[in-house]
Amino acid sequence: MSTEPPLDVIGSEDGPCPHLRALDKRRFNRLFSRVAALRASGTDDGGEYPDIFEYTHHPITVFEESFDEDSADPRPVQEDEVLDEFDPDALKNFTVVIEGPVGTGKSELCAYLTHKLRTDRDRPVLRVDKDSDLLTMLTATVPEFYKRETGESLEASGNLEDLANELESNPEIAAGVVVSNGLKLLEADYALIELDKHQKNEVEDFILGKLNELVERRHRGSDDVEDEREGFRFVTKQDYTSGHEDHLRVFEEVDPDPDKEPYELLNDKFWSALLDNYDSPPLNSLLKQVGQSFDTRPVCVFEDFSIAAVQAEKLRNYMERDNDGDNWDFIVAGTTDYTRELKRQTSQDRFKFYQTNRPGSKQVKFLTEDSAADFVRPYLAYPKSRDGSIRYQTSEDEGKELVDPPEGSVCSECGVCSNDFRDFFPFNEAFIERIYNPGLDEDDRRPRSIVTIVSDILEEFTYGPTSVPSDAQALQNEVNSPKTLVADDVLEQSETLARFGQWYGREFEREGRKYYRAPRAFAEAFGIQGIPKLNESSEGEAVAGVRYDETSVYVPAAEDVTSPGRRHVETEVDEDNESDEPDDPEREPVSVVDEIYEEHLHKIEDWRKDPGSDEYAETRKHMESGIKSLFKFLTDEYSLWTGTGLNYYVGKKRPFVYRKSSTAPEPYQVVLDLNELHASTLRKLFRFGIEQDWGTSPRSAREFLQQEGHATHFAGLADEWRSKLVSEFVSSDEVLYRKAAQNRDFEFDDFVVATYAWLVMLDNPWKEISAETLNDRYQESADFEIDATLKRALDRYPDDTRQRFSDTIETAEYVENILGSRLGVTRNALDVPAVRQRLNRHSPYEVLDELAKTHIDNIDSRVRFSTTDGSKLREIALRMYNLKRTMDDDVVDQYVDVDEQRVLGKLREVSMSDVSDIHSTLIQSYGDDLSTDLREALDGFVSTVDQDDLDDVVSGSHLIETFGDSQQERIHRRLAEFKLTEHNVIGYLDEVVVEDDGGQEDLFAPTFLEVSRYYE
Amino acid sequence: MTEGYILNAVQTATPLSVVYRSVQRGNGTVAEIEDDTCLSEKQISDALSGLRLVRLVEKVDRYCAVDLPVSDRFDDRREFQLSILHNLALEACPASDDWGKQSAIIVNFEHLIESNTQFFNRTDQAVADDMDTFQRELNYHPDDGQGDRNDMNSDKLTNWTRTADLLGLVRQVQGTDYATAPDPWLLHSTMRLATEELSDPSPDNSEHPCIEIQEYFEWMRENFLRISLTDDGEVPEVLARSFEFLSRSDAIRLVEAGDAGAVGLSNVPTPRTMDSAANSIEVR
Repeated sequence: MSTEPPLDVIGSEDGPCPHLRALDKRRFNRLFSRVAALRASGTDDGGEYPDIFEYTHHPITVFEESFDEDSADPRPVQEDEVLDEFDPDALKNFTVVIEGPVGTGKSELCAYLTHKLRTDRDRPVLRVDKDSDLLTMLTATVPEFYKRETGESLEASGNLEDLANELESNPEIAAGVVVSNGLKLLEADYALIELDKHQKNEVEDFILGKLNELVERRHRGSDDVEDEREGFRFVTKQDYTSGHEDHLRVFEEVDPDPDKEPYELLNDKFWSALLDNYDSPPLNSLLKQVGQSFDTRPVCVFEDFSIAAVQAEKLRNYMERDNDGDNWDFIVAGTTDYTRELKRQTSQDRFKFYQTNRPGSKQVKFLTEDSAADFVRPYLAYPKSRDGSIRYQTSEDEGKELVDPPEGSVCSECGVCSNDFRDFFPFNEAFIERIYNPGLDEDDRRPRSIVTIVSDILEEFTYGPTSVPSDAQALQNEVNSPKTLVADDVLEQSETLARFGQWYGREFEREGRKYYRAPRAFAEAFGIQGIPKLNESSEGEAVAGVRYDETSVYVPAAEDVTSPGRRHVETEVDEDNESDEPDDPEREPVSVVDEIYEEHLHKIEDWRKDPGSDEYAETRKHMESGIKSLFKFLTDEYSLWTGTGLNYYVGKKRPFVYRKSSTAPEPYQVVLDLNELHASTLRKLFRFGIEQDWGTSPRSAREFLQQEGHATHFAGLADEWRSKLVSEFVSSDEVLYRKAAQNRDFEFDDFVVATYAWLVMLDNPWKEISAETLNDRYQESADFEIDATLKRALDRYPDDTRQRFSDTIETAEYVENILGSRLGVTRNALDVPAVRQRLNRHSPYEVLDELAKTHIDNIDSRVRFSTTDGSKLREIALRMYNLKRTMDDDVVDQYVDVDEQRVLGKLREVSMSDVSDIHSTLIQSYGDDLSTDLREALDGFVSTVDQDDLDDVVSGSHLIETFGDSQQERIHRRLAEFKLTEHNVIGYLDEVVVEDDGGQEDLFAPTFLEVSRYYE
Repeated sequence: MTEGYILNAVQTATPLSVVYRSVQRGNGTVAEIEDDTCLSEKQISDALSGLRLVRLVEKVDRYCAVDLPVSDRFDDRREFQLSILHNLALEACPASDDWGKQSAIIVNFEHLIESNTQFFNRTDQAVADDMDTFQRELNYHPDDGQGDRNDMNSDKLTNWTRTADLLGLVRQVQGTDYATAPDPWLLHSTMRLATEELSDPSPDNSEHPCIEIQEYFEWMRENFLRISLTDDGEVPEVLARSFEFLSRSDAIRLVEAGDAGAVGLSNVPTPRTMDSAANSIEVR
């Protein structure tokens, strides 16, 4: 009994069609089932849709196949003629073979014959599913059929069940048996090579995999089976020829059998080995046994003969044998590849062969562009026919005509539809025709394909999220776009109206302009914005030139490239390119950009569906030029942060990957979902891209965004791209620091601050590292250099060590740029509290000590400021890593012969003006009496040292005095000492200082004064 | 004395948060703040003026920080942005056209959304003129202290843009070019706050809080930004892009809950997870 479906599975309450609203998903799926046999089994469903098959079935005409080479064209045969071939009183087996390409109606005809034989003629029907396999047939399909029809168990089924169980529980043993016995059977007929143990094991492994696959197939349902799927085989042609399974090449000869390919031989013998070992009867024996238990002739239907190919020969022999005791009627459908096994001389005489299409033609006879709408109509009408809303009358003049709905019927109460389209609603004929052509590719224009598309659209419309069928995702994803191109303005302002015109409209001329005219009732029923209810406004303009009157909506078509008034954008066509057409003075010249645009315009929607396809390579090229140009502009030349010169070198790569692409996005790519872009946006981008590729003065991205909008969306994408880059190469756990450091909250900004701090330290080792001093240096405009005095001190090191210092300082410009973009408040001020906080948290050394070379290597070398090595983020980090090692290995423990306490003691209170005065006095008073060494030292001191030098030395010494024992401070101390020891003041200090009598050094100045007294 | 005008007072917005945090740490004079931040005296004075106009700093003897009205839920930057917007929004809800003087920050953004201006140059006088016209239509007349009106001009547009950038409402593209692209996560923060205050029952017993879109917009006008649905009852395109992004990021879902009418996204394709008759935001 049918029960009311739960509310939540019923179609949208807001849907305009009460018939669809009442259709729950289970009924919907049955109505549109792709498996014809499932529709045909409607009576098994509690009588819910007893006539669904008849209602939706389209009579099929097939062609009788003749094996007489001299015969004329094959004779068309109606399906009921085929049905009449099944004589209930025949004495032998009889077989009808239906051949034809995939999707041409074989299954539909099978379903029709099966349905009629079962319901009208009380025949027991054994239906073998497309997805079945030999094992399932032997172990389940046939025994279950027998039990269903007779109420008794099949004698042989015990053995068969054992076989099935064995395969599930001990597949390894079964595989061993299949291979071992199968090879023996092969060896009896063919010359085999000698298999070593290794090869045999490989074959067994291969067969084991196949047995597992076989068991899995038995557990799967078969409701949603595609025609293309072939029956199970131990060895397929692909297996044998691919080169991946060379161990299967067991034959000595390349072609051991003139009638069968090697893989078929393997397949047959492996099957036989399996069945023989478990004492299972082959299929023909089983059928004979079962058939003899019926009084009425049973019917066995093979919807896909590939299933029984392994037993085909024996089965064919059983079908065609001349034995009065046999009583099976067979219906065998399949593609010619698989049915050829049945075409032996005897069977050609005894079987009836039909083809669903003319030889050499792919077209389905009953489905053409003209008949597509009529083919689909019953599917759409059926739900509305149940309460009598849909009824037809046939007259000689008018043919089949829809009559008004009877009073009280659902359609009568609803009143939305007119009889012009009521049975089609929510489609119309134009829509269906366009799905057929060009929606479906030529070789896909099959009944099942068109029903599938229609049902997908209807499902979105009935259960959400689509309220207008022409907006359905199924159309955007699964079918080609119609050639009905609408005006850009309409796409711009209402894509829904644009698509509505494209799919529902018929071409129409009005006041010299081309429109697509579609029924207004649809637009109202779907609630399309801009089209008011008839009682509100009988005619007017919606948007962008879309007009409506009482019956129709008129959507402007895209302008022809040659039409007057179109936009002229770029380069004119080569003037030498002569045209036969006379010059039209009012016509603007055709530009290359326009030409390419018009040529590819209709491909844009199809490209959107398959953006990677080579078929749309040129469309893709221009589109990507446009998108890349926007990305480049909106990311400020692919920079990681606005205002920084650190960018990702994209070059010829794409910064995005299409969502539909089969390849995963690279770290530098965001996913671009083309469905997030309106068709109008794509058109604009496309034209913009052509301008970039071909235009002599293409619009800049800035101009594009100003003129066409879309900045918010593309800025969002650009931000996503940046976030991805930053997350991949800056903040990822896989870059820069070792893993443990990541757990201790070391961030990229810590690295920037630490690096900058060390650069400041190299720039002047006598400067304290603090937020304030870093900010001071940030405000200076001078280039960073290794402190000149320090540089002299570094001469003690070999070249490669010194090189590490200079390599580091080369990166300063870039580090400062990053620091500014990360921690700058204004152009010349850092966020000092933030820098302070980072320095307080971790010293520069602690940060740099956590760098890990392997993780530095994870930074893409394309993250850089320019092409020079030192400008690459990876190189900057690597140089800091190397410098830190140098500091650890070569610097921190270096002995430096300088005593900052002594320096402070001598110089702390020295004034150079005093020194100069005394120097003058000494020279004037004693002149040549002074020792030469002392005189030169004093002269040099006074002439080369100034007060700033003294102050610096004192300040540096003070700084050294403050350093503690942390590694950061020890390193800094050593560099400061290097500088101190090399400072020229220190050299003079040793030369002019005289020890006093007590052996204690005194302050420099008093000593100097003492010297002067000595000479007084 | 007449209060200053934010579009004159704040020429560089970036020091605002640095100075606010310094005051928050107890630095109550320009000298103290200077020691703490190393910013120039002028930068600090300008920032303090700006902070007083957005009601985040007061001065009696010393400067002191007003507690942020939006705190403890978000990071420092977001707290700061939301607090300024909230304070300004409270004054941009005119009863009898009694506009708060500093409402220009909110009103100019409202204009960009309503006019769907997605890309602009901060020195563009035409954009400034359009903003000015919009302000006049709203009867918003910030006085200049001498009886005249503070008209929008390119300098004020520049100052506005920098402040709006700091607040996460617009985004610098290159140089003086900007996109009207509110930070989606800023909006997400407001959605979270809205659902904490006005949570509706979620559909399907979802554990995520939910708010009707229409209700959210009304709440936003009172609390953060003057935003409205379009005449067609849709989320304006600039905001719709954020809605779409947040949906795609699974930070929100646009769902059907309750009886309110469906609200679409203007000129933005429907996110995959959006209900066909979505009328609410489920915050995840």
